[in-house]
Amino acid sequence: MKNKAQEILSHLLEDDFNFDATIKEIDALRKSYQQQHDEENANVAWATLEIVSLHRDYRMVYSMLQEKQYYDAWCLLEQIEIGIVHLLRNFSGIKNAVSYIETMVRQLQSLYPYRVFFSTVIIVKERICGICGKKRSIRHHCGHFPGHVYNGELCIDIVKKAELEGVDIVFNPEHKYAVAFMSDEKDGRKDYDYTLLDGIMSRWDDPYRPWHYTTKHIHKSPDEFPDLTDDSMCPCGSGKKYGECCKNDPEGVKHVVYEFRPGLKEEI
Amino acid sequence: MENLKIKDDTRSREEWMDIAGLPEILRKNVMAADVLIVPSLMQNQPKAFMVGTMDLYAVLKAQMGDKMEICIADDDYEEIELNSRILRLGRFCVKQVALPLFLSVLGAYIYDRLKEPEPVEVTVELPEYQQPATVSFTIAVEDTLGKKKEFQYEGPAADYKQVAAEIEKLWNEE
Repeated sequence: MKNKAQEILSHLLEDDFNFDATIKEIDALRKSYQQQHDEENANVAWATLEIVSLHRDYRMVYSMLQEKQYYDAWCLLEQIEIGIVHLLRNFSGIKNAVSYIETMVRQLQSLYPYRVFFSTVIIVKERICGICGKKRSIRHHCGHFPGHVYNGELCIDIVKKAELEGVDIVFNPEHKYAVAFMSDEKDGRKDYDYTLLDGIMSRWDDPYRPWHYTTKHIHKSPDEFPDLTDDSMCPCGSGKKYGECCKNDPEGVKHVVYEFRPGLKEEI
Repeated sequence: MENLKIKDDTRSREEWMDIAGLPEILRKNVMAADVLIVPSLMQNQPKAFMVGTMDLYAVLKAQMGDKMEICIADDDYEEIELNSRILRLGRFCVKQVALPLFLSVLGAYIYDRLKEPEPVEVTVELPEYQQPATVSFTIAVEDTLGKKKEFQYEGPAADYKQVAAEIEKLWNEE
């Protein structure tokens, strides 16, 4: 399987790479190794499958952002992030296969305007092991640990009984998909300003062409915002009204400047 | 160390056993254990432990064998999931003799759990959800002469080594 995996991965960045057919092929191999209880090869097949799927999903994110499907792309970015964590936890030696995606995923996420999220408080009463199906028991561990790969299968726990205790609002969610929206953006109303992502997407013509950015803080004169009133939302993005925020700052309106470097068609 | 809080009093093992409604058959082992995981008492749940405790229990058991226990009956065990991005390890009662080994195993566990992507670049203003990982735990240390101290930490996971050294130092003072 190792040679086969290397061959597949060497073609991954080609424009006409057939993701669906390759995923089907590797999955069939993985299942055959599983049936033979060839754990080593089954695990390599799992890792290869993950890498190919991560690259496919990354390309999908790029397409979604081109189509301005921001929230869908956000959710897929989170799935890629989780996939990378699982992959590297089990196969830390293959970091190079996903390190570019890892960097770009985090950069794209950080350009999103989402800052407030919902977070559930759940009491888990009963769960079973996703590998052997046994009920989890504190003193009688089945030997399978969530997040580890066994015979070509990622171990996850399946919750059978749980109670929702509450919902919190947080800034550092475990589940990034739980973005706080005021309305359904699919109806056309936008709660968030996606200017940064739009700016990138209008100048980024290849998902495998890297770009980087830095930020710096400056202050702008209130004269640059002629329509600003005390009741306007402050342009600094604090979420407060201008009259209660930067109006009282003698240096002016706080402003973050993003400077993008190589990889884009033109500097912004 | 500003994220590390210290108290001179802490609940006794008997109190924890009553809180958890521990059956008589398990009480002897709980009293004897060098390291005891006790309920987190989050959201006033007397039988709930932080999510992931089952895995931590298995790791500690592999290192310490019968010298560690958890203060709950198998059928009563529950986990509480608070879905903000903090690695909450829970609450522990540790006998002085086992403190160095426990702190070392806990450090290895944190390292394993928090293998995560590197920050994008230090020159970038990162949203809170991309800030370095945070960890929290409470450790009550006790000796055979009745000395007790409780250490509570919530802060950067990257600082764990210094925190562990500080806990040992503070415990050994006096």
